[in-house]
Amino acid sequence: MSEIYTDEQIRKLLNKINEKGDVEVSPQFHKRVQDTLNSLPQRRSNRKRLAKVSALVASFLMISAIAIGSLNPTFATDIPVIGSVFKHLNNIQNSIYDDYAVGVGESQTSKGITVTVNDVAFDGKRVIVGYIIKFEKPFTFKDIPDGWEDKIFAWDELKLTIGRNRLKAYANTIYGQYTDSNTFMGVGKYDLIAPNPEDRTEDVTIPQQPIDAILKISMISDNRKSGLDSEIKGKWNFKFQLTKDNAIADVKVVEPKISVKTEFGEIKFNKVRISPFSTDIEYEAPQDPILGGYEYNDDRSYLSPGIWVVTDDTGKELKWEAEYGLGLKAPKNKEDIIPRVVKFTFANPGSKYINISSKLKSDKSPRFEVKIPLE
Amino acid sequence: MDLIKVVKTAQNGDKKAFIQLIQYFEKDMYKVAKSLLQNEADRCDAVQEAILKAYEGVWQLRQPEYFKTWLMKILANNCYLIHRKNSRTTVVSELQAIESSGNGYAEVEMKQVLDCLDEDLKTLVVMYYLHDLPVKNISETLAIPEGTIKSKLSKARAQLSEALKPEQGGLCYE
Repeated sequence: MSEIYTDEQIRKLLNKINEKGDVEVSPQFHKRVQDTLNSLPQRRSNRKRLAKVSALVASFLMISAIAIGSLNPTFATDIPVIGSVFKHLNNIQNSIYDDYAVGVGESQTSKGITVTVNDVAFDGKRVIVGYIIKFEKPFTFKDIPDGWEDKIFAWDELKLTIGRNRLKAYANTIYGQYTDSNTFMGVGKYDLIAPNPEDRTEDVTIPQQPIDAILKISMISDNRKSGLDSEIKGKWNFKFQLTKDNAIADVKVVEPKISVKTEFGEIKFNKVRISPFSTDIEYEAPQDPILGGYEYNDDRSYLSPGIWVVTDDTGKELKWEAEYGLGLKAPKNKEDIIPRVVKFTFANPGSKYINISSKLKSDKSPRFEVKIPLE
Repeated sequence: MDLIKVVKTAQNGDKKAFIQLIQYFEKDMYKVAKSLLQNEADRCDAVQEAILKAYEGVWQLRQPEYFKTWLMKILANNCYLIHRKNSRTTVVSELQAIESSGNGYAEVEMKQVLDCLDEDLKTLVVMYYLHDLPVKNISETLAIPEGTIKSKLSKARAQLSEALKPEQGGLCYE
């Protein structure tokens, strides 16, 4: 039997081979890179899409504090009684989270930053965490550059164990607002998307007993600073529990099995999950610029759910929030059909259907339109 | 350069920041393209397409620290697409190149080594061995569980050991 090299041996051999060739970039290659960079267009619709998502949490009004009881008396004394973060960050979406919020009130301090997991809400697929982040050193709003007032970046990882399924999720960005010269209050959204179909929470029975959640944060951005200085690396680790509450009871899942034909292939709408927090559409389609795909050109862009117009039966438009590829294989060809899930904002409770249409800017009529019954 | 900050700035729509990132990784991109494509014109096409796709999609990247992994994956995908499009002619030219190299181990190129691998392993090998990217990053970027990545790397290790062994007939290098 042949000897199996170690990682180090292989790395060394491959690097030797690699270095032997032209490690200097060829002039032809360099020129093409430069030409491409010089011809980059201004941002197109995708940027607007992001802006829309950011706008969900960008404008808030402070309202008076309403105290709620913490379910974790051990840590309740660690924080001031201020009530639900979702209530403070008053917009429609956060109001919904507030209806299902459970107080946690656990605080951890590291490197002069105190992070409090104030409350959580859970609909079986998405964990919403209400954060209060207190900086030791006060600052003024002038210290925060434009465009950075409504967000704090974090390296975070939420781990849940549901039965035999271990799920991980990341928020990375906590959207909210500065509430005083030391404090940022915001919301992190953790989508429990497992690429392996067997690990998907729709297929997992959420137990009656509380689910243990472990949240680890290893970096918080201090937006007053720039460069590496802005990354405050520390240890803010939390343990809390998620319970099977009303939010999960209010989830409705339908399997419409509806498909529409497009010039690039069929789009199959397999599952729609209506929850108080979001509208999840699980579907299969030829590639578009989704996470992991990046087969992009203008002709195909109407396949991208970011430009779909999704409305409920009251005509309310559901806004794109996030999308994920499902399945263990990364797409290789644009013809590859990859299952994926896209999350939009919540539909009105009791909606009988949602309508999805998509067209390019230059189109007069939609490239496709489909009505998906929810009953 | 504080990469994460620059990536975040690029994600906020700053074109200059994006250009800075591409320039920073130009050499890495060249190495990937060179390892996967034989023809220089194809490498140029692949990188051009990759830059445009990355520019379109950078805002979607959930974890800025994975920018390099993500960029290399886009580029590798483009290289495969071009490789497939040219597959018939490439096979002929590859054969000629290998035949003409005789015993010349010095002529062995990364592409030949990678061609010994199953297709689904090539990107992993480039990311893991040539760019020293951690399994966790690769797992997140490719949306493949860490366990699967490790198992595929184990398979790749066996295939590479065979391809790199210093015996006659292998794509040897020493």
